[in-house]
Amino acid sequence: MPNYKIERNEKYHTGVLIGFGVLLVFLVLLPFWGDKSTMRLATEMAGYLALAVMWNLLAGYAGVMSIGQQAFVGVGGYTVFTLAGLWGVPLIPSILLAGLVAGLLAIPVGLILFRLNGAYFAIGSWVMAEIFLLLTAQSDYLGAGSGMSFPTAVAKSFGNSTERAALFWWIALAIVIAALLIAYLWLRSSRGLALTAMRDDEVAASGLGVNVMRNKLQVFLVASAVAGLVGAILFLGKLRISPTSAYDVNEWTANIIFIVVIGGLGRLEGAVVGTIIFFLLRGFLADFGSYYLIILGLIAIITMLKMPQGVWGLIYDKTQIELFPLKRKIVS
Amino acid sequence: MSELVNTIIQGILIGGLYALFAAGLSLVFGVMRVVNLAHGDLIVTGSFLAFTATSILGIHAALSVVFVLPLMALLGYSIQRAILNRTVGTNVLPPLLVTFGIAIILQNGLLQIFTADDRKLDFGNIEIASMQIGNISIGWYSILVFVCAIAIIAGLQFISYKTRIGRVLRATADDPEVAQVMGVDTRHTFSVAMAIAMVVCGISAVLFAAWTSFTPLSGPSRLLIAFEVVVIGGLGSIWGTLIGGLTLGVAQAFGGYLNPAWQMLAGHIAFIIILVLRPAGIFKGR
Amino acid sequence: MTLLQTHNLDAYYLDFQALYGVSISLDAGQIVAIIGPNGAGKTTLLRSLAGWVPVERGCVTFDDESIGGFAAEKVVALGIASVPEGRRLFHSLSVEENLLMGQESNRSGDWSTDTVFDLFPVLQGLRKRRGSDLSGGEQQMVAIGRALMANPKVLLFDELSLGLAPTIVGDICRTLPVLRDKGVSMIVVEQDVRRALDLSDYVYCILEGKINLEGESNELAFDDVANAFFGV
Ligand SMILES: Nc1ncnc2c1ncn2[C@@H]1O[C@H](COP(=O)(O)OP(=O)(O)O)[C@@H](O)[C@H]1O
Ligand SMILES: [Mg+2]
Repeated sequence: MPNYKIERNEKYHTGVLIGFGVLLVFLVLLPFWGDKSTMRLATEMAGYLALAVMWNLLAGYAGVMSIGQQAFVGVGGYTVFTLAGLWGVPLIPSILLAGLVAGLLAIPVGLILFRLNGAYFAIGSWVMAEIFLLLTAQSDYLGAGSGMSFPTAVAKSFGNSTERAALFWWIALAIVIAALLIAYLWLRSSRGLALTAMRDDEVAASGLGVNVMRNKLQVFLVASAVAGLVGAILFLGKLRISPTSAYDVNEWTANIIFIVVIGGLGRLEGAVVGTIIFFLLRGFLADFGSYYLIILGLIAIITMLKMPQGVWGLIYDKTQIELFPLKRKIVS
Repeated sequence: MSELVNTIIQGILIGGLYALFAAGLSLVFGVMRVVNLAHGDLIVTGSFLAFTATSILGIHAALSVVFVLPLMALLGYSIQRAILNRTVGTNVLPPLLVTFGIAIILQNGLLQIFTADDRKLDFGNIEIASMQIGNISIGWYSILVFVCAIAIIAGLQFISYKTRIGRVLRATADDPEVAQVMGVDTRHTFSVAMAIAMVVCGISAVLFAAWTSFTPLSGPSRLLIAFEVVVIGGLGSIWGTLIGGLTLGVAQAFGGYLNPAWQMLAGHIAFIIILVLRPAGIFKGR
Repeated sequence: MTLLQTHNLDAYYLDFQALYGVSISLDAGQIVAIIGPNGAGKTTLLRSLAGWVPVERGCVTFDDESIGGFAAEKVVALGIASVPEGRRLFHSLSVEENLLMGQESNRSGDWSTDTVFDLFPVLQGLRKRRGSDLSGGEQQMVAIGRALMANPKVLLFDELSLGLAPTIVGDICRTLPVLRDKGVSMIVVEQDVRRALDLSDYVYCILEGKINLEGESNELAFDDVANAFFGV
């Protein structure tokens, strides 16, 4: 019997690693060469990228189409405002706890919503986010419908506004690197295969011994925890939070879906490319008001119909480059 | 006490309208297996069409259906024919993403044209007139809405089971491949299904536009209502949809009775409770 | 007179080729049988004729017109109706509604629910029943009736006897000559070699997507056909 083993496409591996190293140094040093507004933009990009990586893991790999991730972004934001702002918990533990709270909340939410499959799960998750919004808006402690500002005294304790921008950027960078690493290692492991098997055929996958429910729940938990972390850092940067901004479906889900679809669904690199394209478009189209979102919607539809593999899919077809080598092939 | 009875009755009456929201969504899902995330925004588009017709032509709000319904049918047919037919029969993601894109385009298009101001249709005196039974008063407009809703649902039932197009729709829902081999142009059939769904949306859009005010951003809340009704009532049974609508209407009315801010919340929570208790809804399938 | 013909027909499911250069022909008033083991490509051949599987334009001619690659709804409108493998009734429609679906091709002719009920009297009493509530034999009758409602010139009949009780199979086989007398030519897929030879005028044996034997039904020896069937 021939001996088979599974090989990954790692042709560019060392080059890619060096590239990543250089890029990382460059990014870590951003506060020394960029100004405050660059740092803020970079922080926002990092947050979006982390969300996109996780949404891609959910929808593109696990087949879990959530349009309710804003629930966890909002929870993260409100948790950090409560812990650090109202209760005086130190910054880093507050942010980590925000992720933890969002992740833990995802368990009961997932257990309920996974009774709905496919498209029905999608709207169910949206209802859930709406419930979070309405409950938050009921809480006088959290400032009810008008929301709350982060206490100035506490904010000052993190440094002046430039120092804060740098600090938040480093935290956001850590979050996005963590998100990428988690997604990459997950997909490289045997769990990654189980995920793709589930996405392609849930029934067949469970026949092969994949515990579909547990896998979905795990991905949902991790994606929601990351959403919580992102919510925490981005709303800290804004120093203000309100129910409508915290649980905004357009901001935290529609934009992220756009990023993933344009970049390439089911490809880790897609999230990166999509994020860059999104911020470029947003920069160019900023003056067009709501036309901007109309154009994004059109681009997303056209991509989905004409180029479902996304921009990275096109690049990959031409070059066979994988920045995050995941493709497996069997060799004997 | 009579105040509570009043709210419950009010909930039942609006529930008929919610069932109409859901009937369109469930028709489209039943035939095309597509969950249309733009459903709510299409309803709101209908409301704006009615608003435009009444304010430009100065006609009575009820007459605006003469313009709204054909335009909605045309819109539904074209969206299906030009865009959504390309996603039928693929996996769940493409139609969801495409309809989500359509939703974003409609919302922002309406925002661009009509601004974010609150609008409302004016049905005239019937909106304030009411019927008095003991110390319970029921608005004539609510009764009109409920009667219309029941009539439309009965009409849909008639179309489904007594007409040729209904037969073709059900057959296509069962097995689109074989329907095509029998001579059905399934792409046309899908588009007709969407057009019918949009006519139903158009009627509910006009009725709801006088019930409460609306803005270009009201779509998602309509979608969520429609969706909750479908899940509560179970797919594929139009009378189940009606029960789902009434359940949601009463839950919302009861929440609003306890605290005006809890109206929507109570509806969502009722949905979650029913989902936990009965994943397949109250009326299970056929 | 040749009614329906394929010329070097290739058919694919995405990258997978299921038929290789298949040429068959059906004359007016003829019954042609297609035999072959499971997975040979019999269903694919019928689907290629019905417009259900995309094929090249010139590969199929009907009444001297090239119809390869026509959409299924156009093909049936020209007069080629199908009894699909596994019957595939519309399960939420009643028997009567299933029959009426056969008229969607809008072809005029003598067939109506009444004439179908004359042909299969048992269906009369079942007209209000759901398609899914019938026995296999009754479903097959509905499927045949549904195809006849299109007033076809050609009937493509996949798996005549599969999964049916022998008496029912006998009943159905006896209707084929009746249909032929009413002007319907047929291509019938049948795995039972003896029955296929009995009911047809001409036979094609298909194996792994290629025709490996053909001939007049009454001239072919049973053993030759059986050998072709198993590829020996
Ligand atoms: N929908 C399909 N997609 C891919 N391959 C198919 C499909 N249908 C049939 N096949 C393949 O095509 C070949 C011929 O199948 P078919 O025509 O159904 O054979 P038969 O009817 O003779 O049993 C088989 O190898 C089968 O696996
Ligand atoms: Mg077959």
